[in-house]
Amino acid sequence: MKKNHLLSVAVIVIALVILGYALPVTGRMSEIILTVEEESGRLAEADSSPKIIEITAKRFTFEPNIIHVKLGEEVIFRIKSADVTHGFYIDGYDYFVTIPPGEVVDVGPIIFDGPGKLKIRCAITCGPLHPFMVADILVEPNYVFPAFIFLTLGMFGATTLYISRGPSNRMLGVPLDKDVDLLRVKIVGPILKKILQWRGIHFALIWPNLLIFMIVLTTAFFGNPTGNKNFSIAVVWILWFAAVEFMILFAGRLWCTVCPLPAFGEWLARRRLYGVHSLRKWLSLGKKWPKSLNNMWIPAFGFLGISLIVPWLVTRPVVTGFLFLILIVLPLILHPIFTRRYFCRSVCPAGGYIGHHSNASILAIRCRNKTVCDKHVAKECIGGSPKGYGCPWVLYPGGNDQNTYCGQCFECLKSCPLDNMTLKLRMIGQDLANLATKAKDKFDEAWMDFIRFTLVITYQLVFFGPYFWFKDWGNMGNIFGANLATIGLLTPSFQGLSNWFGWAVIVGGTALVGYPALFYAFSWLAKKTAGDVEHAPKQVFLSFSYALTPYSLFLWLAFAITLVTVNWAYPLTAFSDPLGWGWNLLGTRFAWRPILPDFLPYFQLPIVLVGLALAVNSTYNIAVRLFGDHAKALRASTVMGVLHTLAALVFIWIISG
Amino acid sequence: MNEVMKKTVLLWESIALLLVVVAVAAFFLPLADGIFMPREPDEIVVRMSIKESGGFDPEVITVKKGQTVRLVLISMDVSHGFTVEGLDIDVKIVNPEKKVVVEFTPEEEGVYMFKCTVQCSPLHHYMRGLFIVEG
Ligand code: SF4
Ligand SMILES: [Cu+2]
Ligand SMILES: [Cu+2]
Repeated sequence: MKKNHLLSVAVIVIALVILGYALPVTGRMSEIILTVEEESGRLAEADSSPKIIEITAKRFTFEPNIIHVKLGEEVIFRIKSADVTHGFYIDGYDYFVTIPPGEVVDVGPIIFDGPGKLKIRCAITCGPLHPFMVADILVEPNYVFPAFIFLTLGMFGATTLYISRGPSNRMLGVPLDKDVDLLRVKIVGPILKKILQWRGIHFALIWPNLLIFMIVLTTAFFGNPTGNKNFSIAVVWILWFAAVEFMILFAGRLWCTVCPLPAFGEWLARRRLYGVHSLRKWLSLGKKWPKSLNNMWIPAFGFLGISLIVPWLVTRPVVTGFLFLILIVLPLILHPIFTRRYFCRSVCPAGGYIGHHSNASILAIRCRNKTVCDKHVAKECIGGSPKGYGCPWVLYPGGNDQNTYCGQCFECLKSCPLDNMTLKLRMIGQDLANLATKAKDKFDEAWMDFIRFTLVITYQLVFFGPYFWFKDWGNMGNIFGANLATIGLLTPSFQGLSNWFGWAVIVGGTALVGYPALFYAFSWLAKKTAGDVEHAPKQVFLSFSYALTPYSLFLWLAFAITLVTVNWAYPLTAFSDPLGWGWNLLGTRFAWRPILPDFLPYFQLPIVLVGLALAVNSTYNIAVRLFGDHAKALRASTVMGVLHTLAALVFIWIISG
Repeated sequence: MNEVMKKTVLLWESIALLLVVVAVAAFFLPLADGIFMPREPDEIVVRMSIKESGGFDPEVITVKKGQTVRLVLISMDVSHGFTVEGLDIDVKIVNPEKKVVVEFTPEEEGVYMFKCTVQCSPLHHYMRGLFIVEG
């Protein structure tokens, strides 16, 4: 019976996907036939000369920034530069053209034989924002966009159909109450267990990252002032940033396991790098963390704050350098005072979202048997033993049922004498419903979701969208890269500052007020439609916000693949030439060349759609738990699904419309 | 804890401490330019940045008359050009993506001026240096 649901939904989804992808292709075919038919007429007119499109490249955009061409049309781009040397590259066409100032360069003729949105990208480093110097080419009629809309609506429909059958405690067909005890899997399990119980594992994992971190710090301050040529920018903001999103999905807070930032503080408080040592002495005062800070407000606002300066942060090494300096000094001060990982719990901006999104992860550290934990009086996982510290993240690991504050340091795996702690593989969203219904006053977590959700859409638009004014406002109109020696170049102009203010109001306003207000309106409507009278609107609002956790994680994954497939060459080159001085340490210097950029929307779409399905299904699971009634839950999640679908459509529009 | 265990713990602690020191030493990477990019005796590396962030590095290039030198031109930020006025060195464009190597044998003693020939920044026209041929 249950299998049947899954099968029918799978069939629907597959059919939709085929249909959706077929649409642009058939569109393209018919257009080709059309052009062939037109050809004779055209020849008669003797007007087969290609259309010439004039483009001016300037830091950091092309003008015009949105170019419309017809399917099958032959085009020559006539390009000149308004300032420095730029490059010219079109997704899917292998042109790497240099455009020096003072010259006019013709590119083409190019025949655009597929519909959709392609990007013109700058191919020659031209300044700090060079990697984000893009313009759109819309090959019209753009069948791809309606096809994508169709697929998005189809996904919403299919998911709603699926939940209308009342799947209990399942996520997209997979049961949520089942999981795999990874440490008991044949062959792999015992080996993994040995490794994780080895005292040196934490240090061994942190060390390489400490090395990389030191290189980040030094290159940020003293290396090449141009972002994409500098290790700190290329490795942190292209490689690390993207990798963390994937880590969250597959391994929860694994980043926090290997993170070097709090390491110095922790080592100092422990006065040990490897072994277990008694705490509560000199340099580990064990002070109480203020209750008012025991939440994720600081991380949430930290991430938003960072995002407000993100056009600078991810392009100016010195800005990145100062951020990381703060992020390593803070825990160094906090750790000896509060002894445990309060910095990671409630301060670190990365820790905040990594923790919150980890609730959508397929990995978790949990106890095997709750009753064993409850009956066990000594509870070494809290108090520690000679084999492992008591939970440095101030949890009771045995009773923990959420990933938010579990840093996956594996201490409880070592300290538990009853072998009751393990690594579990489970379906996305196992804990969400429970978490969401318990969230009575957790505005911090809701706003973390709103901030992360609106910002991923903003990022996609700012970095890979054609709207230069928006980029430029965020960038304060500054054209210089900077390291420590040239930091003065970042002094903003008055115009730049006032533009930035506008940007901050737009970005911050949407994240903090606009979208949450919309979300509140929808959740209120959902509650009304469901006919629920027992719960306060606030409760419904907060609970439903947890459905954004898997959703925004998936949108970030979609963003991450753009980041990596387009700019993978920069971090790889940076490993050979960290300072951007022309070294070649490892022989990994690569020329910039995006991987299948013309297919990017097709890669991103399925990720977005899975996110959408997860959001709708999570809302349903939360609503079932909250209202205790299938019919009510179905109605509520359909209403919320409309909002989630709208958001997906916005994202789809950015990548294909 | 018995003696043997204590000893192994101590061993691990020391190894770890040593590793931490090694990692922290990576901070001094910029000092290792000569090690990680060794120059041949006849090689002169010229790093080029827009004038605002330093211009040519070095700004004074000294060569010996009659001795062939290889100038390795590396652009740090945007595309630049490299021309020595009065000598036979004229590199039209050096893109940041690729270094350019020119070989040159100076025939006549003198002090020449080199400059960037590709519009590169507001202060582009001040991006210049001295090329000295000694006897
Ligand atoms: S919370 Fe931040 S500092 Fe702590 S381990 Fe995670 S990423 Fe590192
Ligand atoms: Cu450019
Ligand atoms: Cu120049």
